[in-house]
Amino acid sequence: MIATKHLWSAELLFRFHGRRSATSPGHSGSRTAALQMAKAILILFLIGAASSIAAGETETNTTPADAYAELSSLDTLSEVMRHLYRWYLDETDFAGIVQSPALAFGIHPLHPELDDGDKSLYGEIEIPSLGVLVRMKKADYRIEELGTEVKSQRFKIVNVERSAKGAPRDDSRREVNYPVRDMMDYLFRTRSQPDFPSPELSRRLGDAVADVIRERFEQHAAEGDQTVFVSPLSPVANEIWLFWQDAKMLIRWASDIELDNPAVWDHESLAIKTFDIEEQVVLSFHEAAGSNAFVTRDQVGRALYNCVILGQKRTVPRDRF
Amino acid sequence: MNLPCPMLIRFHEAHPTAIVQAMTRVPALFLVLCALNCATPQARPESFATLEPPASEAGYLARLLINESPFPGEKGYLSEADTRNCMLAILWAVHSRIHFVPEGYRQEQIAAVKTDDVFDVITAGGERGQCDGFYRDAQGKLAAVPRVEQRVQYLLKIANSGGKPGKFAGLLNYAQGLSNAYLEGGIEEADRFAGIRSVDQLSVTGRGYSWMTDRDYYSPGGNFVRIPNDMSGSLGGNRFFTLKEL
Repeated sequence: MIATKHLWSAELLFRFHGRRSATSPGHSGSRTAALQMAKAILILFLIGAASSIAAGETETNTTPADAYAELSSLDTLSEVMRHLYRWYLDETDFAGIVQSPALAFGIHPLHPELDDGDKSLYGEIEIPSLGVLVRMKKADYRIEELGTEVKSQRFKIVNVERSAKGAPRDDSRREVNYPVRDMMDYLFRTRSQPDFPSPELSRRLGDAVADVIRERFEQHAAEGDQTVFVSPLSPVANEIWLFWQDAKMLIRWASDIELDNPAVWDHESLAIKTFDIEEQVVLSFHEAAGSNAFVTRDQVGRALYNCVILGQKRTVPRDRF
Repeated sequence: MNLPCPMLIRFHEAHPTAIVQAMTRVPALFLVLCALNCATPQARPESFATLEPPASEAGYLARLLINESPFPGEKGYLSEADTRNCMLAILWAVHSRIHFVPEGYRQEQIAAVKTDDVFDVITAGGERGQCDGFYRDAQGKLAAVPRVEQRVQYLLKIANSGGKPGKFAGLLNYAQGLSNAYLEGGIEEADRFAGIRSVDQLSVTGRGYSWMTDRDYYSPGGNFVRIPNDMSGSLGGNRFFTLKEL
């Protein structure tokens, strides 16, 4: 709109100059050439202005809904299901979905209050037939003190919740359906698929593990080379688990920053949590009501399965710690 | 001014006769300046965040709040306000275990201890007790596992780097301020969970009495009831729990 108005004004301007140049006595050729040059420059300027305005309009025309389209994609939903398959679901969950022809997903953008300048996106994926809500985050903010950009390439799982009530139904919610048979086939085919960290991330993990072992070596009376098992890394989860066999310890690295971002490993002490399997496992949380120090045998079983069966076995030489 | 007082002290220990002889020749002014240097606190660069020592009650309480709450870049971080709300909710939870034991419950059932001391509530159950990593040592002194102080020192280092205070400093100072105020006179801010009476058609007591990492497979067991999202039950990557009404 603005570009059109300017072009119209320019046309009037040149018509005025043209009329005056035609009727004014003593009109010289050099003056005409200068006017022609000025006209050309102005036209070029206006074309450039129109282009930049059009580009700006294109950017501002990106609707908020487009930013969340990734959550509805088959790729994202398949990976979310695969993560649930490995870490959360059990056989009773499948009984609820195999009878239906389609698996429904409810996609719901969320808008929590964030820090100034934080452009992170949040959304929720509801899977009604499983009674599961998966909260997703696509981080996009800056940590000024560290000089680090926290920017995810894709949405990642931040929380999984069992909810019979489900997510609120409002106008922002979208529903997508995919054939149950296709999803089940995918989960079956990939149930043992290894997704190992990149060589660079593996190297950093090795250094981090050596640090953990060095700190706790004497406490666990370990001897010689140490054996660890590294879980696969899901494309939609920013966490990785290790099982330190000699100490019977589970180690989890989780971060808001993408794990293959060097910033994570420059500040790895912020990302680590350890679980002593011999000391911190209960059959049921009722055994230690109110405490936040324990994990259940079921949870440990899942972690061990991912680390030992699906994961990679590594040896940490004695001289590294 | 940094004069070599420590060096003099070390030399004296190694060569007592020599230092006596040397000191008789040292101008008096030098000695005076040296004494002044030793007595004057070293100038410190500006600190944007400070915490009380870990062995102090205020420092210990602050460390509980910090240990349980996410900072920028950590898993569970949403915003500075959310982390502050998490710290406040944790303080309310330990306070409620003493001062708001619901009717029909014994304090031991919800706190694993009978006490009116908030530090007994925090350390109940030992190192792997009610608050993972916080306990009393064999002498009864407040203690925490090494990773707690490691992380705190690292957060302080980040907070005090750069040319101006940022979110790290704000959160650390908030935790310390909250702790100081609590020990001096209580909590000014309201308990956001105090008014909850029903969760999914289950009658509850209201108030938060426990918290855990917000994963569906974490639950404190017993009569603890998960506070859902629509009641702000998730703060700082933690899920808070109220109690079933008896």
